[in-house]
Amino acid sequence: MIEVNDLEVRGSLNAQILDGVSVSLEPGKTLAAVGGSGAGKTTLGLALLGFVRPGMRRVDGEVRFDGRDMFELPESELRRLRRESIAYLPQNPASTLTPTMRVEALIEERRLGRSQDTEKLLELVQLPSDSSVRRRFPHQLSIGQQQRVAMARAIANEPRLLILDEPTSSIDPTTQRLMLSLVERLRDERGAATLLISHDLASVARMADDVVVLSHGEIVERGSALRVLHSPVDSYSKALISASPDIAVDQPSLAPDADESAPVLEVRGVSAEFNLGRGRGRRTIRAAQDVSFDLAAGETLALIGRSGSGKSTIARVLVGLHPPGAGEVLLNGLKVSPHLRRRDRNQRAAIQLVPQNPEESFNPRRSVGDGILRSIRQARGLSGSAATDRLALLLAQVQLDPALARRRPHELSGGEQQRAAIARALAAEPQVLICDEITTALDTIVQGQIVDLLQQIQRDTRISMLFITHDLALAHEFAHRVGVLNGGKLVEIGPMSEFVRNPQAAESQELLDAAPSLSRTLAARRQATGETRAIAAS
Amino acid sequence: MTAGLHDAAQYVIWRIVSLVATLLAVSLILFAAVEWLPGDPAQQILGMNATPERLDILREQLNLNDPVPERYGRWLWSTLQGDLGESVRTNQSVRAIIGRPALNTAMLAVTAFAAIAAAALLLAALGGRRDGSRTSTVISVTTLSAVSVPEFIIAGILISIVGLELGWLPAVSLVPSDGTPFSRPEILVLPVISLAIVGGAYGARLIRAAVADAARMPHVQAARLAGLAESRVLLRHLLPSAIPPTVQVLAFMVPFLVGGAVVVERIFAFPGLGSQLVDRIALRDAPVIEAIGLIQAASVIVAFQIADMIGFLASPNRRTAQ
Repeated sequence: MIEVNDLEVRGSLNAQILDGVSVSLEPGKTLAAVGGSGAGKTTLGLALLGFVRPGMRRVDGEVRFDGRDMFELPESELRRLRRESIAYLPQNPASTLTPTMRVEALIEERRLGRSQDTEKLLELVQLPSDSSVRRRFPHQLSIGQQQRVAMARAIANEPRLLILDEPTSSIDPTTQRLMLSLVERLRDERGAATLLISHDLASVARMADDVVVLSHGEIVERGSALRVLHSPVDSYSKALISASPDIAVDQPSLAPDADESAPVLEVRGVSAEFNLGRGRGRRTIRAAQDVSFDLAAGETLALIGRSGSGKSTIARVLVGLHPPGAGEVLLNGLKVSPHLRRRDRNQRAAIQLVPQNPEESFNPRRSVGDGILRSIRQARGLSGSAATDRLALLLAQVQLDPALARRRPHELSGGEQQRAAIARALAAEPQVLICDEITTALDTIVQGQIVDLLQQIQRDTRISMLFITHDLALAHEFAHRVGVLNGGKLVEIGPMSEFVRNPQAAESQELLDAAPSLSRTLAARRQATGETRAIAAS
Repeated sequence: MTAGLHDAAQYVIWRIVSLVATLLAVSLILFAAVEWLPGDPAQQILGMNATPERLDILREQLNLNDPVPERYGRWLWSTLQGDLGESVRTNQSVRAIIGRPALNTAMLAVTAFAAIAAAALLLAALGGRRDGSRTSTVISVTTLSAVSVPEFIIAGILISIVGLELGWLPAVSLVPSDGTPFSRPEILVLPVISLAIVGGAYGARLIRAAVADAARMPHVQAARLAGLAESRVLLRHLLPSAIPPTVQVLAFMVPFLVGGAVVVERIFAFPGLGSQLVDRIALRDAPVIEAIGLIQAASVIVAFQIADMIGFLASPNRRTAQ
């Protein structure tokens, strides 16, 4: 149905984005494109819409939809094809909703004569079909509801081709399951073909029939999903698959060489709230409720929970950016002020935060090296050659090329930015390192490298780490203990190895069930196909 | 939806309160500025040969010996009651002095504003539709050159070529004593063009940038990729997001017109508030200066308040609660 032949796309400075890529999509089948960031996956997905992003150009190749090259179609024909036959959901589906339009108008404009009516579409995405949602603007809905509206909008034309670009990265497990069922329905009822772009190999294993592995714009391996994910041949595919965290793979039992006597950090009954909105629409969010935990020297505690569970608020309380309504924070047994301004230099240095988005946390007009130097000067009072010597040591510690430290933040890759941010935090010689979703924006290979780096730093310095993440499988790879947050409450805390075997809270069980596992999914699919074959043979 | 309406009402009330507060602050600054103008009004009125006794009497008549706060309070109170006082030079009421000029200037300003808005929106639409096209580049270069030439130079060129050399339009914009500028519209053409070239070019550049920003938003790309008609993408998805910054730009044209009118009216000998203001500053006629200043400030403040309100009403995420 769709044939991509020898597609070559170049970006600015003639950089190769896609290099002779050929794939074909068949009705009722799902093709997955996997690979690291910068591999060209999104460019491939957009090419199926006959679209090349501004700043890039198609140099060669074609994309044939029902035999016609989309890049040669007149504007009106291309528009008709997109309108009647294709659905595209980008990484952040909620961003496709126009803020000045109501939900019903957003869905209505995508409907065609043959389509279901708006009410039915809202029911399909499990939203109330009365005016409580229809007459609202996107910002009046929760992020999960916005994602569902975006899905309703995408399927409103009952497309024959679905392009899903990292659909699960920003979506909670329940909404993910809904999306999968919608894709299956379109596949079974309309015979829709699907291109699934993802770094989540477990969901690829669950959904895809075939897989292409992209690296630097080239397809390095292709084949059936079961074969490629189970026994990859190419070295890059192997690295990609082995870097993917898997909750079902046993980890060597992690025992911190922590001394149990005195915790470095004690959190005692912390509650925090903040206000959303203004005027009469103002709501108070109780982001943390009576949260208590300890952190020993040389120990890693993972704080996990869904978005909105209060993880980041706790990080902000610890570093003094969000004074809590109740409770206290003790450092080495001594109470520290809830306000950053009232903490002394040593207290500030002792607790350091690595933020979620490192690029935004560096001054865009200065080199990242300058940013690290500033931290060295402020936290440790070093200057001149003492400071530059220290900078060299820190760069070596985070394995960042000193030449890269002379560049500005946007000139570095995501992984390099994160290394620089870790170096900046380490410059203060902290006792506690708080990592707030620091690998969320990275692909799995780079994520694995950053996690290895953190473990090595911990072995060398016996630093304590609070690793905040929504990714339980990742935390499971290296955290000693785990705390589960739900609606601002710490519902469970204990050693990771016991937690995985025997979770206590209902929320913990749900997170465990939702955690990706490539091995488990592959096993389940093998069994399912085995059974189908057995039935067919009998 | 009632909650939304309630929020909007609350917002409008709050806006009006802040408008009044701003006007009060402006009146204070204006009064102080006139107070601190160098020279003594009594001396100015009576000339260099006045005797000290006559000066004292006049100062007393003009209440110049009272403390400044008291005089400010008295002026504010009577202004609030609609009494703008009398000229210290002619004993005419200020209202009579500025009535006709205010009407003349209003007509000039409204015409110029319409011309600016039309030119700016048209050029912004032509230039912003496709970034990097030839039309876009030509518009970008011409508007930049227009912005960098002051309006009095443009006015001078227009007078010498269109007015004097070719004689197509009057070089001097005298308003007939028994009519308004609209009864001789040809006198408005050159002043309006002088203002509209600079203002329109300036506005076009800013609005074009606002439209280009909106065009880069992900929901606009999503609408194009959904295969919607280009007119629908523009009218429903792109332009609504560009309304708030666009009305801000248009509001900025009001202070430009207030200042530009002073210069352009002078050049074309147009009997408006701007000419009147320049004359009265030379005469140190405090009540007239203060009245004109207040009118100018009020029109600027009201313009920005209206722009803010339109921006508010055009943004559902500000207008309605979470």
